Amino acid sequence: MSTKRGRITIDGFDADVVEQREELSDWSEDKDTNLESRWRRVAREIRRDRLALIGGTVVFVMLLLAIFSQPIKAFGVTIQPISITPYDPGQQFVAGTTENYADPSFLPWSEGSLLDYPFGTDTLGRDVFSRVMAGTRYSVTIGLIVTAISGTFGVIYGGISGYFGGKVDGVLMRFVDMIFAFPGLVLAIVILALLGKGYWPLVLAFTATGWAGYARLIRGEILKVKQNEYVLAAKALGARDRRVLFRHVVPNSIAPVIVQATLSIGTVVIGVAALGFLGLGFPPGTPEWGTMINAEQGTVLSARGWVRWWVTVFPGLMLFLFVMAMNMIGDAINDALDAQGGEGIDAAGGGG
Amino acid sequence: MTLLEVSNLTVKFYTPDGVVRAVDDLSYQIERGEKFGVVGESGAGKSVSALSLLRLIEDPGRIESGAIRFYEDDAVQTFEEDFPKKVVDLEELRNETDWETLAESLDEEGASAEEITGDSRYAGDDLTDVPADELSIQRVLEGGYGSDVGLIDEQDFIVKNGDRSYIELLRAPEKAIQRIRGNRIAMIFQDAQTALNPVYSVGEQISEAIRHHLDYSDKEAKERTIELLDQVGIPDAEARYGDYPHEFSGGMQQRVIIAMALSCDPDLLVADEPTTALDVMTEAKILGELETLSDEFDTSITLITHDLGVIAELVDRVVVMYAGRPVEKAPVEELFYDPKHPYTVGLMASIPRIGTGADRLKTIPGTMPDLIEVPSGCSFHPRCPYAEEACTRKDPMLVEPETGEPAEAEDKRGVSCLEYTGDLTQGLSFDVSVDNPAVGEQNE
Amino acid sequence: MSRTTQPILEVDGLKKYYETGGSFVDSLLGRSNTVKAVDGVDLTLQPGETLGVVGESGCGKTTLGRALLRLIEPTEGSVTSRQRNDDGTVDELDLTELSSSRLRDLRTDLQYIFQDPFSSLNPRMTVGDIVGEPLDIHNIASGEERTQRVEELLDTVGLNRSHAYRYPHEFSGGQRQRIGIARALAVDPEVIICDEPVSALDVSVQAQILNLLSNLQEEFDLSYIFIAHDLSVVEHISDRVAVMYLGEIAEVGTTDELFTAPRHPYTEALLSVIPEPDPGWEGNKILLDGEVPSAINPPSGCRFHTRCHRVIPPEDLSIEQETFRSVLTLKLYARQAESTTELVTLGGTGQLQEEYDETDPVAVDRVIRDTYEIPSQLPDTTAEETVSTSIERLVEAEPPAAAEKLDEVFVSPCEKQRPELEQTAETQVSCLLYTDEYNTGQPVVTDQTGDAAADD
Repeated sequence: MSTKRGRITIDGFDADVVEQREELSDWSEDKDTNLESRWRRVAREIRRDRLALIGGTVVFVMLLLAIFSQPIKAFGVTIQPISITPYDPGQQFVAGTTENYADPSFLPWSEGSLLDYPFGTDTLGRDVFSRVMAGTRYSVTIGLIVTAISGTFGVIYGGISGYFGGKVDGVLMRFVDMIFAFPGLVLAIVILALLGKGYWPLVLAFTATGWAGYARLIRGEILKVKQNEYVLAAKALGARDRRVLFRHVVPNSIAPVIVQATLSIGTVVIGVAALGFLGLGFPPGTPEWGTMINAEQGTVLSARGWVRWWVTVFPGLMLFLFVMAMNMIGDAINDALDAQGGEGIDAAGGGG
Repeated sequence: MTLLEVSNLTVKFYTPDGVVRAVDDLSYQIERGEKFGVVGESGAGKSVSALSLLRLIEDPGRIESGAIRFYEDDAVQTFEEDFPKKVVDLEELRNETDWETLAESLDEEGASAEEITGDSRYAGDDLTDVPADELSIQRVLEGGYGSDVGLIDEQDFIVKNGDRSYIELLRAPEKAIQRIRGNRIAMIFQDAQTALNPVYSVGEQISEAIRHHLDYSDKEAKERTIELLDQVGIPDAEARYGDYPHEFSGGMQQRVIIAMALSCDPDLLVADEPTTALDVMTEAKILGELETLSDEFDTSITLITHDLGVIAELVDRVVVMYAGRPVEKAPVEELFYDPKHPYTVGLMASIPRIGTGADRLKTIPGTMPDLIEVPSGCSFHPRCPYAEEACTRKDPMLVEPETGEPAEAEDKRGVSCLEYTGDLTQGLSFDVSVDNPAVGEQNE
Repeated sequence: MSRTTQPILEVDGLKKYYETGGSFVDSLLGRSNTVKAVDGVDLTLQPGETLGVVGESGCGKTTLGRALLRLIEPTEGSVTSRQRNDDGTVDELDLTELSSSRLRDLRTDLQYIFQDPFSSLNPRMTVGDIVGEPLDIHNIASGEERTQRVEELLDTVGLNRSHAYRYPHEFSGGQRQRIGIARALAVDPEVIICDEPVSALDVSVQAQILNLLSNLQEEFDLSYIFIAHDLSVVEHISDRVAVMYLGEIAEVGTTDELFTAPRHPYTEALLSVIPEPDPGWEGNKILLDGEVPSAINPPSGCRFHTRCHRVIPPEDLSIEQETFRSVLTLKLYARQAESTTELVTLGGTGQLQEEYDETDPVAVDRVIRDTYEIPSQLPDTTAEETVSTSIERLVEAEPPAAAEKLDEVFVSPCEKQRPELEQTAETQVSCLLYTDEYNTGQPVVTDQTGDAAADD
């Protein structure tokens, strides 16, 4: 036994030999790992997901419809001349006369083949198929725009709140609490009552409360990400707060926001439809799905039961399809991002 | 007396990126009351080998082959009563077996004469030509042919063999394993903070284990818990019984974990990096604690660590692992004063030692290979300064350095380097010197 | 190391206090506690040297490193940085007083390497962007030049140029730490604070990184502050070492002096417990009693007195130092204990005490003396009287009353007087044993590593 430290010396183990000699075998430390970026990998994961593929196709077709169903005019100039709807969605009595439509038992298909009016016509004789197609332009785009605006604002707001913390966080988050305490639908109704019906008032009505959810979500995420040493490292390099926040913190906390946003596009579309059904969304006659159902509520609720069922079922079906598709995509993104977390198992663990 | 025997253990993980061979053909024995060490860097497979002892490998991991035998008469006895249909009595088997038929069916299964007799004289011989009394039933079972030739049932896990009865852990049903875990074999994890449940008081967590395994009443369990906490050096154990994990410091949490592991008076304590997260002062105390426990209660300890200082301090025998394989097996003094494997030597050379005043440390270049694509031949060859062309082709076996014979026997020293089987042309040119030679020699 | 050159970094009275219990309401009601994480640290760093900072977790070494660079705002004190300009003049700047934009410029001179190679690299950036980021921030290089500089840096730290296009998760711990080092080197700093840079790495990789740091120091004339808890690593890499305890510096000295002849009892204890990778080694380990006290309410006087094995007995008491230590421990525990039983278990050595009658003064006296290893009869009459009266009080009243009685006589100067960091012949030490008043002329602590270690 000895109390002296450092008694063992080892000579002759010369690591340089390894570096200088030629490779003995073709084994190399560098793996041929794929150099894909994170988002590309996520995209690949999603492509592998069959449900997401179906959802994606549905949404893609609906987006095409939103663009090509009707010509688009801006400042009097036609920038998109194609119109694929068989009839103008506003054109009345396409399958019969006013007298025909006064008779509740009138069937539009009696005037021509089934394919002429595949979804039938409504009380005013407008072609439901054309109207449902044109409706994508309202429902789908409003979902996207509301989500984009409230998401962006929410991320910036929540980002600042979470990143700076302390008093800033306290004040900003109390305001978010207030928004949450206020019933969203009532606020939306108030805004619509003040500004009148229409596309942009609806957008405002939904973004006014919608951003708060994103703000709270990303703030929580940022509080976690902020702990990482790379945030401190960026500060130690002299990076300004804006750079630290938007280059380091936000990109690492954005994932749940994207999932949330995808899922909430559907929610917004349903919300718009709900307001439409209450007669608060678009002006009557607009081919928006909710408004269309509202216009026919008389017949739906009539004592005679399911007379002209097609007038409400097809817009409802479109609504259902779109929201389902969005949810499938949202779930797929969620799974794909989750799969990012684990980079294979650490077979040995321990040691570090 | 052997307490636990691990033989030819192989564990694989089936990941999307490929098959990870986390442990490959690992064999070792732990004697009763012995302190055994498993050293290796991260990725060496040491934690997986520890978890395998308790069959705690989870999906996508699988224990592919090998055997883990637990020699504990008490346990054999209780299990025999509870699982009477899963018992194999070797004595009876020996008497009942028709050796000629057995030799034939073994031959069909591809067993070699050398393997079944354990005698190299019969190497290459036909099994059927070997005299019947040279065949050993025990070797048949250890070779894994038992159920193939119809000697035993696939699920028989209690093997009676006079005073060398054992439990075959890898065959035991989950119900039996649960009674071994925590009771006969207990585990100490590295991260005490996550190993403790934050919503229960520490006392409650320990007494729960005691009530579960030992059928104590609430009161008895509490008393025993306080005694345990006191034993591992938690001051004022009675008052702290009701405290929650977060109210303890890191060192104290680790003591709680040790108390919990000791709660059922286990025969074997598996400690996976028990002091890695702790300060030197606390580490010294905990190691002292473990040493006392092992001496006082004759508990065997398997210490898994990357820290050679801790190994030198506590254990009696060591196995060094690299890339899932054992590369060197030796008593601790021999390993430190006379290492044989280039990896062990490199590891020893790269630790900073106080009082040496070296300007630069020796290093092992590169990093441990990931276990999906292990280099061919000797897996250490890309990092080994003594590697030759032969190393890329030939898989080294664990052999006795003096003789070059396979080091299968229990207490034999083993090194897996081609140097000791005479396959290297240049030899190994390292030199280990101990400042006070008297000490070094005295231990050899 | 020449002491005549001006230090490149000079820390003076640096303090960092935290408020805890800080919910909004708590802080309004003033109910928060102050954690004195770093409490008055003085240090100097010479150009080209490595200063090791060691201590147990919670001693404030990481806080110190971060407060030094104002990654967290120090509460008090100054950090002076001296930079030589090209024309030979020296700029002297107090970091704690700089505006944030001036501080940002200065970040090119002072850099930081982090402990955790997994959390210190942004997983969403390529290695090239991580290493190139400081070049962008300080407008050092862009375009083709930036790419070239990044590749040079990767070369310097021993990585492959093609690695620039990969993401951190594709690398092992050691390689990631190299990336972190390349990032710190990008701005061509003078001083790098290394915060446990190798503690998360495997032994063989740790050696590679330590060698790399040494090589870089030579090549680029760097000065390091090397924070670590692993004393053998610190011994290997440092020129000088500072030992921290509870937010204060206990001892500073050259590595040689400090490791062969530590002056401060805490250093002595800490060095004695370093595990030696040698099964035949059997040093005399000094296991300190209890745990590091909380930094919220640190002990009075010398912060180490509650655990110090060399605590100074008062002059007017003729008592063995060991006995005094025992009585002092009894006093400290009695202050916080709620019952005699608790007092006994607190001082217990692991064995359960036999049953005794708590109302019987004789039994209590015996048990207490047994537990705390106090002789049944102290030679000094005042001392004996005080101890026995205080134990009697245990029977009549609560332990704090006993502590009060002990406080009348058993008070170490270490409890009263706060030691200053003073220069001894070898190291700078903050311990009363080395002040003129208590100095016995002999180094209290003997040689640690030599053959002549004859502590016992």
